[in-house]
Amino acid sequence: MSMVAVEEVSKHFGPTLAVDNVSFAVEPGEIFGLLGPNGAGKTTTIRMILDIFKPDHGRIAVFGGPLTAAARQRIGYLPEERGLYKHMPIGECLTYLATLKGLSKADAARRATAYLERVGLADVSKKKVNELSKGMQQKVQLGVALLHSPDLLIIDEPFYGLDPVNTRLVKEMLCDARDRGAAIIMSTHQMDRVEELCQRMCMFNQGRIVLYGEVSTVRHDFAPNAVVVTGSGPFGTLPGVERAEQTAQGLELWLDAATDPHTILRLIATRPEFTVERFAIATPSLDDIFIAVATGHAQIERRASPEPTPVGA
Amino acid sequence: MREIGLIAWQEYRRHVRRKGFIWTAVGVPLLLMLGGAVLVQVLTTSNAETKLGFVDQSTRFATTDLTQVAGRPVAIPVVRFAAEAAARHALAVQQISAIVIVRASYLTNGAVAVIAPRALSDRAAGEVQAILRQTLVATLPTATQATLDRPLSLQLRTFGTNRVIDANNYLLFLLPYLLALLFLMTTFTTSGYLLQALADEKEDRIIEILATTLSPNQMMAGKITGLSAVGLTQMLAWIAWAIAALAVLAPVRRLLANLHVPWSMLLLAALFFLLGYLMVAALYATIGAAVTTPQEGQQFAGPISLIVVIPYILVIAIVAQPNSLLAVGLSLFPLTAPITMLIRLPIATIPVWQTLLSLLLVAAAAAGAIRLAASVMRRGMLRFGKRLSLREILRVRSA
Repeated sequence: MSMVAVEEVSKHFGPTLAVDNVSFAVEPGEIFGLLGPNGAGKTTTIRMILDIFKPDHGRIAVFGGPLTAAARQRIGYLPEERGLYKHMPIGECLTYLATLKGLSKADAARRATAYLERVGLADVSKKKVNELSKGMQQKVQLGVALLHSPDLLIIDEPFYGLDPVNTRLVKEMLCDARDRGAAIIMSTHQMDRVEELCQRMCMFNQGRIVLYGEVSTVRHDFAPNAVVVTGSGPFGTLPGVERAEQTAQGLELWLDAATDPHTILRLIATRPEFTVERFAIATPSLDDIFIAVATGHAQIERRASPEPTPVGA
Repeated sequence: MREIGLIAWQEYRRHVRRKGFIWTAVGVPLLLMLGGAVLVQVLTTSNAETKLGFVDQSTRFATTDLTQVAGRPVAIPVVRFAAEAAARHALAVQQISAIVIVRASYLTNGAVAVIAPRALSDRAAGEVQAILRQTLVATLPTATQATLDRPLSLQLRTFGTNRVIDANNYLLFLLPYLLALLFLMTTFTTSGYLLQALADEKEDRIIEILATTLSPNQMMAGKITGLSAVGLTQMLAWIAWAIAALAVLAPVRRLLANLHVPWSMLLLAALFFLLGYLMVAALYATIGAAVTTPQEGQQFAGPISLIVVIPYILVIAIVAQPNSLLAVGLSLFPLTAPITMLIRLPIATIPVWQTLLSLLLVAAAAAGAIRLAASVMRRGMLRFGKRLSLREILRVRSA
């Protein structure tokens, strides 16, 4: 059973079609990336999953059914619009919000103390939220989502405002949640985090899903017919190479339609004037794919269809 | 249910610890009482006699007991002097504060002279009068004495409806004002807290997190319950202060002892109070959920407050004619019904249909307002920085 199943969901705000016939599913024990430019429909989709907005069309199932009161308690949420009781001590704030998620007061207080210790905020547990730095507030906010060990965690830009040390800490906590079987939906603009943490992803643009599937498959699908080599020799003169561009990773060789990377590799291997230190098939970063999709510029040649692939494909 | 209790308790704790609440519930009454005590002290000490001299030149009061009056000890000691000169000496050396001289011609012309550095206080004059009167009527038959004690016997009836009220129970006539005032103070203070709490949560952006945990109905029910408890605490604090202050004043204590309020009336008053409170609180909550800041909310709450307060402004007209068309009309309009009925209940005989219809309308309005508040909360909670328009609120209502 999928933790979240979104099927053919659409949502209008007045004349604006915010989400257009969107379908995807999130499984237990995975971190699922939700990508897309601002205003693409990610937050609206999240709010429909959480029953804050009702979809105009389509169905959403959470834990296999409608979002009941019991189901709500199994969800942790870090919203785009950060919010905490600004005039409440952070320990008290964490404890109170965790009791609303079904924990007893004693358990909530114990977990709040343990969490604040783990994220290095134990010394400031009596301080009010508005007395903390942005990074500290972010950690408290994440604590609100994590403290009750939710089965479904929905997080919007979880690394916003964090330094590298805290970024690593948050990654560890997310991986811990995933490893104990929670499903995590992570909405972010930080593509490197998606590449690093997510098994699967979907990318929104103008209310529609334009990419959906395994992160590695998406990158492969968007890979141009090109290779990257480092070494010596007149690589640009090889037959089948249309052009050569020097990049930070090495020399990128763009191949014509009749030539594939294996052909070029065999060719280089048979020619003594070439020495090769590294040879790799060029794959774009998600950043490149994001920009290409968001701007609609075909800077990256696609091998596969951009239509979203069904779950499990 | 557990969640509603948690929210209610959280709201209660948060508000009763606020400086504003402590000041309103404890500071203001304490200050008023202190002010009152100082005023009473100043008034009673500035003109107070410690001991009176009494000279009887008429001889009519030669055997009068100057230590007792109407079966109780006199409030100010009275000392008898045989001659005016001795009394004047005592006054000069400040053994006494004033001299009362009953002239020899008293029985023919009532001549009494007072020698004192300043005018005799009402209290001292009253005691002297009581002493003289006691001796003068002592020889009359008991029935005549009783008639002289109460020459005018009044029967109190309510305005318009002619309901007879015990003559000693005239505090009942003050109840409409007190009940209406208590309703106004409690409702608006508490509803103000509710509006503030909701607008604060929108401003703090916490509402989206709460919305993923609780339904709008649960949120609203928890807040209204918690803040009602805050209002109740405040009301009880005021009542406790008032009782404490009144208990030390003997005449008021006697009035309170004579106050008899029928239980049925109390029950109805409590129902109107509660339903009226819920209605106003839910309307304030609707505004709190629709606006972006507490300040903006206060502006929009103004017109509602004004309508609710109308019966209080017209209280004299309603008390004078509690079954007039105006009073009945105001009783059947939900926003004005609670205060109008609180004013009418103690003093008028209201037809049962009017009471029931009014109660029903207020209950329906309260239920509708709570539903509206929850719907607007659902729609308005994520509208940061932009308030819901009236059209959007009405669309929410009809949705």
